[in-house]
Amino acid sequence: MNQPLIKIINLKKYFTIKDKGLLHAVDDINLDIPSGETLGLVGESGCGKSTTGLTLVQLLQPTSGQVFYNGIDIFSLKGKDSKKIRKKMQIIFQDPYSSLNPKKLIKNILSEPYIIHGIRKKSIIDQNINHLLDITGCAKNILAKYPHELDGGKRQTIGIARALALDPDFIVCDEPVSALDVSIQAQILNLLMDLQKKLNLTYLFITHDLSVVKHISQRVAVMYLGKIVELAQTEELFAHPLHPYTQALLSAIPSVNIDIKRERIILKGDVPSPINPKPICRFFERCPQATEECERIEPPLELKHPNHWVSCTKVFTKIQKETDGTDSKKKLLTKV
Amino acid sequence: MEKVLEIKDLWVSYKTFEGTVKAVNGLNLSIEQGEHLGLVGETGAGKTTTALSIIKLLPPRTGSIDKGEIFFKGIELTKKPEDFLQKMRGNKISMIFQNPLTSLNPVFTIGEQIGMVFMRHFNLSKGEAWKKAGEMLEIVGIPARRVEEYPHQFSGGMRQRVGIAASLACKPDLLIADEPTTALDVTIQAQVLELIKELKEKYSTALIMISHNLGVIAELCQNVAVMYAGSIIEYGTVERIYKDPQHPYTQGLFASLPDIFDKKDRLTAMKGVVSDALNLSEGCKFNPRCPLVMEKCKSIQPKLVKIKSDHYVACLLKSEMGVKKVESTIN
Repeated sequence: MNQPLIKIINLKKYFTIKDKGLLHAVDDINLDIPSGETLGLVGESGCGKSTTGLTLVQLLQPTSGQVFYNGIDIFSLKGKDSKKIRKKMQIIFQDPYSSLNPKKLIKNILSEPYIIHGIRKKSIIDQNINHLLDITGCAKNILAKYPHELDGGKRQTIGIARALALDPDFIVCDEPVSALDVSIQAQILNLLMDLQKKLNLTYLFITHDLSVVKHISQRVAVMYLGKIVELAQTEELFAHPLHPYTQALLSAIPSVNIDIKRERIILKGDVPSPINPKPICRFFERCPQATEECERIEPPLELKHPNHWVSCTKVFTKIQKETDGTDSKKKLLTKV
Repeated sequence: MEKVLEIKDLWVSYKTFEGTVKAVNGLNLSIEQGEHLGLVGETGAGKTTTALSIIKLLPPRTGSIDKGEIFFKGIELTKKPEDFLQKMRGNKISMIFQNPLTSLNPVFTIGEQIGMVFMRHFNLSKGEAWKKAGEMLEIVGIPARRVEEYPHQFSGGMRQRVGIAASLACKPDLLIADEPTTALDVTIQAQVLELIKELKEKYSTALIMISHNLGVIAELCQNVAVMYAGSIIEYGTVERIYKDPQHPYTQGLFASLPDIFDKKDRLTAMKGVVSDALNLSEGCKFNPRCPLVMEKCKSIQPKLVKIKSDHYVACLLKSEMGVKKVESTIN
């Protein structure tokens, strides 16, 4: 198989909280993102999805672990080499109202990446910016405006244009449509998908909105309290969620398809604190299927079904039985 | 059925430095006892302004009701003095706000804030009110002993439960929930929706549920009103509107929405942006974005017309067809 564009190995990011201890924002995650793929990263607030994104584009330094871009360990690079890699890995932020400098003209906002990376010739910058406006579908007169003169959708388009400025291969989209209205959200999602085809981009698409993730990504990773609890192809994950958290999450999304009646799993309580977590299953306190076993071990993310990774001891035992013999397989089928 | 609330031809505007923002333009709405109505629309559609007009909490200097009447159980509210309205608010009509972090006062305990409702409207002593506050907390699934705590000691979902407890304290006839779950995570949102569902059966209050999330409305409401640029452009039962939307805006809204049960390859994006309430277009407010726009849409403001027994649309295209049909049957 080809080498994945992005390979994340045992990535950890802890924050020290005064008087309280260590906040395990991202706790030992492993991910491969092949070139041209959109990997959706979903989870609720505080689960570490944005921290993962920020670490990938080196806006945060990891506590430990490695990230490979085309086989190059990005955190081992220094100086010029590091800068070169940063050009190839960009980010689109959540809130287009706060991610653009209000004091700068759009033209200056879009020129900045070139200047930082040593391209100072005005004619070249202008040519590049014009190209950016073309591919994102913006009119030229936008250059002479300030961010406050634009609506949310156009602002996010500028955020996207800025991320594309240095011709990257990999873009972290950190909730790029969460702050936008439904009718604008569709415009931005379509733009992102068109650009991906045109420029052969690879996305890590971070969002809390599972409907959006289902629409845009080929694979989905579900995060809970700093850990990836499930990873599968989008269709597979939505059709057969295996982890109890994913099941609850999917059942909780309000849908506009009023004919589809669903069993709703209501989780009790809130997401527990990620500060000094116990070495047990992170979902233990809220899991409707939890047993004593879950309190003893921290389940690793394992391949349970073809191309379907889950970190749950319950799922594991089921599959084991399945491979034992046909009798237990029958039992299992009747159970299901 | 008795009408709990009836809004007739409401016009609300805000004065700003850039000019007058026409937030609500000729809105008509009524809600019956025990009915659950969803009010849906995008940012700036006038949903919250409508809600604030009902309880008269518009910003005092800048916001004003220019025209129209609001009847609550037959009593006209817009011209009533402040002390009368104070007796209504939180007692007969109450509201759950969007952001539970900012709608609770950080320097008072939860007990004091819920208890205040009882002291104000039922003249209870502090001790009695405190006890009642504890009971209300139990109803929304929070242990009564937590009345002594401050808002910052609660999580987001819990705070919203506190907001719900306070708003239901007097068993109001009308409850307005303004995006009560927008600031919450999906699993917490499910908890809060479940709670509202339980409580609405228990108390049989009329509910106006404001949301931009069509899925949330479908969970809770029987009827839904779609707002655009300050007026209702489509109204009907959830069943009708979700299955067979008639207004081009509503149709566009559903087409642009990714859903977990749909298999759309590409979303159909609506062109343009939400109309600027500072300079609204003449005629139908949706005409600059409408894919089916006609010449007359630019001059004539369509009225909300009945097209089926439980379905109303404000669109010249539909109302004309309706009229034609009627004519043909007469002939």
